[in-house]
Amino acid sequence: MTNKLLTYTAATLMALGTTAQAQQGVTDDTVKIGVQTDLSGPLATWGVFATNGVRLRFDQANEAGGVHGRTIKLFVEDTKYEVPMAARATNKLVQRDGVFAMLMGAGTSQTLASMKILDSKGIPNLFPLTGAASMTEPFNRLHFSQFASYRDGVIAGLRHFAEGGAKKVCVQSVANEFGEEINAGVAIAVEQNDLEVVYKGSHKVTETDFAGVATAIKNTDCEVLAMGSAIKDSITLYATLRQLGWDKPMLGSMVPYTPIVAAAGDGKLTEGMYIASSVLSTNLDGSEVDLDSLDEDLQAFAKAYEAAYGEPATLQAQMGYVAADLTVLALENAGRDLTVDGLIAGIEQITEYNDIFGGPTLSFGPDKHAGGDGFVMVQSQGGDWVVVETDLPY
Amino acid sequence: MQVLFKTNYDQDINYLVDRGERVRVLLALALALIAPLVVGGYFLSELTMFLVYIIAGLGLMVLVGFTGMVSFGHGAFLGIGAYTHSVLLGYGLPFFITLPAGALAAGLIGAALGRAASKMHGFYMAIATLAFAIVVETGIGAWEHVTGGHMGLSVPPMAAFGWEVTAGPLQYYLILALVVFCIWGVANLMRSPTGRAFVAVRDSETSARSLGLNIARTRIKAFFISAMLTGLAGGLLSHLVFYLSPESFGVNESLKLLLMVIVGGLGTITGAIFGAVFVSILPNLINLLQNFLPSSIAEAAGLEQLLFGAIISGFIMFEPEGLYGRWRKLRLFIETFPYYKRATFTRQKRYLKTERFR
Repeated sequence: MTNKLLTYTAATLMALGTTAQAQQGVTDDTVKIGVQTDLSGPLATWGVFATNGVRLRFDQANEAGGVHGRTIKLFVEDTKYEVPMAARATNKLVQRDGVFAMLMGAGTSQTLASMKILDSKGIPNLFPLTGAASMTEPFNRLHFSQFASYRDGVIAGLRHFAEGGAKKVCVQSVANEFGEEINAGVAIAVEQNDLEVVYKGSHKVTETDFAGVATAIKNTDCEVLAMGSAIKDSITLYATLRQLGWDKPMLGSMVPYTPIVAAAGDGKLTEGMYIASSVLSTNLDGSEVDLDSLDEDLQAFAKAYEAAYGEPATLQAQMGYVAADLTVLALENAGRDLTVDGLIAGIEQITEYNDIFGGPTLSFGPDKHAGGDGFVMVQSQGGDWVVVETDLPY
Repeated sequence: MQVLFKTNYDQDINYLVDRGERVRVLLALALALIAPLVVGGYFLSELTMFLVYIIAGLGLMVLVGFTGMVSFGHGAFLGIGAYTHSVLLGYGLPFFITLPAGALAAGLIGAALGRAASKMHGFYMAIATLAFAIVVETGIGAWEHVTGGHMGLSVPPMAAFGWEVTAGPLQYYLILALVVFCIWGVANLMRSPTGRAFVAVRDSETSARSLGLNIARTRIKAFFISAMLTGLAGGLLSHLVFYLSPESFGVNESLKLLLMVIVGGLGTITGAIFGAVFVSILPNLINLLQNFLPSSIAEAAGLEQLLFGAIISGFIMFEPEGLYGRWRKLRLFIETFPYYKRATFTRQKRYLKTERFR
């Protein structure tokens, strides 16, 4: 005890010359950022690539001399996508490693658990790897998200179809927190655009047979289907409905927005599927990409990523890169005297941010902590995702 | 070697048999009491988690170790305890009412499961409890307006009449007191007629029945006590994980508890504690290990599961009596050196029996 006290006193005395009060995770030449993510569980394909993207951007910043003379130190903890592990990982990052801020928390429930610890310590939670509305609602000055939520995505997408004349909506969601959020979005869209829900169904994550669901949907007279489904079930649901000859549009969310879905069955199974996403995938890991045809920044990113990790960047790597880029930007805005308040103000200064991937712009403000300004709508065409609408407001 | 001379009948029902044991237990208690003064915040939260797992392990030990029934569904009782406690706390009830309520809810549901499973053995019981765990997980997910469904449930602070127990030394001491109480309770149970009946049912049902024991009732009791303890652990656990979701209490959690008692050592209270040490420390040890391993191995997916599995297989093959058994052998080896003989520990009782022999 006494030893600790002495160390603290000594440290405080030394610090008096430079800064008024010591900020956790910030020293004269480093700033510590923590990540709790899934590196070995069911969502490892998200966690690993997003973390790679974060690390790439921070390494670049550190090579360029750091931010205001501070190098960024990244601490990553694996949660295996389990809530108790996420709480544990956060405890470790906060209490043992002493991080200044948390970044890219993976999973909705996991990040909510993590945020309870962070809130009690006054540590900011930045840009989690989930588009759930609960990341920034209810409003908390410490919570920021780079996305516009899944819920708002459905609202934006359904408005698009409502403007095209659709009146009756079907919705089929997976039975978990993500599906419930999609249902909530549909309910709001219905209210706003004077639509009518004629069919509402739910399925388990592991469901593989959608013949019954598809028949039920076909027998209704709805004009658009909102899908609150993940990857495999989106493909099966879509393909089953098309096989039955149903020809109305189907709208998915950011979750099935991966090259595998567009390329399923040589691109025939999901041909025509719509997705409203708050980020734009550059498909660097899709079918044949000619790196030299890309613009300069993107090319540099793609090459640096491949050089560092030996494989093409995925959409999640993009998300990680953008999250880290926003963090670097905020740290720059916050200035040399880095505090939590300074960081928050630094993020809130960011407006009309254009990422190098050409997605919708991001803006933050004192009342706007979910960055995404709008959505892009993409469609599966010939095995690839093709942009059909770039500026979809919500 | 120490020889115990019995000079008093009370010695037969002593909690601690010899002086060495008394010294060790006192030492452990003293260490536990001064721990918050010497360790930092993170380590204290890990210790608190470890204490909670001792209670859960004790619960399962009553069922698996003492009564000889296997359960693949104890994660569900952890969940029932956690959810009941958190939901009631949300209604503003004080925690010293909601914690026992959670334990009681888990206990009653456990007794109901025990009623259904009391005539089953071996594989059939394993499957029944496994199915129960899946049903509870699905049920919690579907009961949206109470449990928050898959969106999860934010755990309210541990409060009573405006007074709050936050994470830290106070929470630690509260849980430590409960752990000591539970250990004492289980130790007491095991020297009572009910506890003796558990052991009798475990060792031979035929002889237990011929002694006039009602097997089914004994097993229901074991299920009740076991589920109640695990439910209590669940209520406490909810304050360490801050956020409940049905997936946290699935089959994985049940397996972790079962592995804990198997690795710790079946049939002893100390085994439950050793098992809790094992499951709490192992992830940290692996983290440390990862710093020294080359990054191609350290960052490989599933390293932890691999080590976990390897250790468990090792125990089942080479040391079925678990860590506690190994410790006893080591002690006897030193005490009797050089006259140690292996045959001392040849197994004469078999737990976790299949239906082949009853």
